[in-house]
Amino acid sequence: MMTPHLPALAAPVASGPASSFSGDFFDLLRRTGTSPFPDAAALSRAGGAPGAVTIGHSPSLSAEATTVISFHFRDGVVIAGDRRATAGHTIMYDRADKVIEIDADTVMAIAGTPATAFEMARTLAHSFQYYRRSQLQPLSLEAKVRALGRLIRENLAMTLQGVGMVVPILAAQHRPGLDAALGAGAAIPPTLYFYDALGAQFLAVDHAMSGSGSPAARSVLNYINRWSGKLARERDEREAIALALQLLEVAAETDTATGGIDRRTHIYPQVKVLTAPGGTRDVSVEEMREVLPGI
Amino acid sequence: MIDEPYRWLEAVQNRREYIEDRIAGGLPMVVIAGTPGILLIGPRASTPKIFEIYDRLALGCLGHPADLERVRQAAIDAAHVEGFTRSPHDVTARRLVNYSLGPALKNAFEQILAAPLLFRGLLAELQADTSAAADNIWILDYDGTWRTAAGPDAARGCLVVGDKQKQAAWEKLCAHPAAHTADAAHPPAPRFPEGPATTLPELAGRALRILGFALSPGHGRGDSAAEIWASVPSDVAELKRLVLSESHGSLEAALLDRTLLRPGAAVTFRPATLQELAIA
Repeated sequence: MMTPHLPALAAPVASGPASSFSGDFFDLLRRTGTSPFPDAAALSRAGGAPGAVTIGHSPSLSAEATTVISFHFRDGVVIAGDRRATAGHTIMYDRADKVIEIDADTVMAIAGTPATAFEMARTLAHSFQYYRRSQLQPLSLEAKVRALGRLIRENLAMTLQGVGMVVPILAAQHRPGLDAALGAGAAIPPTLYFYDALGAQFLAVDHAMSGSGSPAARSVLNYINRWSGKLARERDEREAIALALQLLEVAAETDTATGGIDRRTHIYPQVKVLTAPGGTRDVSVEEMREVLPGI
Repeated sequence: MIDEPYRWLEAVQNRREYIEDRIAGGLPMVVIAGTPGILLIGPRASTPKIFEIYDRLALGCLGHPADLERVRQAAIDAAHVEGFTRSPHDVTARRLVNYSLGPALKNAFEQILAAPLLFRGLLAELQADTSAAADNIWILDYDGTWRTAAGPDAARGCLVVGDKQKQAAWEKLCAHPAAHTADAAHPPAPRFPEGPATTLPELAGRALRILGFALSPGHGRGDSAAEIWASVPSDVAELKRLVLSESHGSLEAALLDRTLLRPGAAVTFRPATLQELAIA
């Protein structure tokens, strides 16, 4: 398993510090041949003409079969997702976890091809820890946000083939001094980012949503912000959790690929909350029932 | 040089002497397992000597900072690739040492034309289940040799120190854990406390005593290992004074914290403050 790393010690002089001291986990995966993401250059070579990536069918670069939503509330950020995974018109799985904790301060919600999305989450989680341990300081929030963008770009070949697209949203905060005495950078309160299919990252000032059910949810949130008299960002945590559940229900009403709340088999959406001093918290099913008695 | 066996042996022997000579001044590092977790503690040097390797792995070491960096980095690389391609549960100290670090250190040691690695270290592994008896401590040396201490040996504590004689004295002490008494009627008194330490201050107290042993000047007077051990104060306040005065007034300490264990992957490594260790 670990033989690829032996040369670094066995030839201590030959292998300069630059080769392995960068703290870059993607680079380590490449060097050891364990990267789950196909090399775009290699794919195009396999396809024949240099630089050409074969496009299988015309890929849609926006909506994917799911709904993940996130928005700011008074004390932080709520990020939630339904549990359904589909393949074409078939419901594959009704207990998919699409809201994934990358580390104590970072949560990623995925929309897109599950195979790629879960690998991205795993790669990201490992790369943050790898950087922190090897460089003895935590990765800055900015670098974490870019790392996900880079992963999406690394996956460009698959995206263009229409088989491996991922359009995630990311909720993250930075608390210096949490990981080590060396904690770098100033504290940054919970912040939302969304990405396009090519890896560009955007800061969301109010809300970020992704997936095929998101247009419906977004419309409702816009309506609430404009006409309800109480902005989502003015709501407290209980109200925010209730609103997130309502938005997911609306999405499930119109989108076949979004699973609603299944009372019979006790399947509830995933809801996570990031608050400034507290880090990340899972909202339990009991709590969901309590804040939204209708469910 | 390689095709003349005698000169190769001579070169390896010279290399060993050179390394021993270079690390002779290396400050002691103690790793000890107990109920709260595994404590890594040593005098604070100008560069850090205690490092997090993986979820339940930590390395405490001595030697040249650049070489420590190399070994540490190799361990982190190997652990993370394994944890990523398989799962965090498959990253074990045994595999890391047996198949990666040990052979690599030996290889580096025997490449007599390259600069040697100045390294000696302790790799601590907190077990995923909750008992202190299952914790492991691996003692790794620059020539690729390794030994492991588990159960009562890990609870007693492990020491690495630059001074060859002091290291040998400690090994001797561990090999004969009970003090001989002239009186046949009384059974030999055990030198080390029985069972794992149950609190952080108790764990730190035991570690301090071993540090005190490593830092005490007894060897200069030709005392035996047992005599030096007997001369180390058992009172924590006194030990504190002794260790802190010998270690420029500060200690570096970290804990693989058993309370941070979770069913999935979890970071258990955290710096330990002297306040919680009741040393400040």
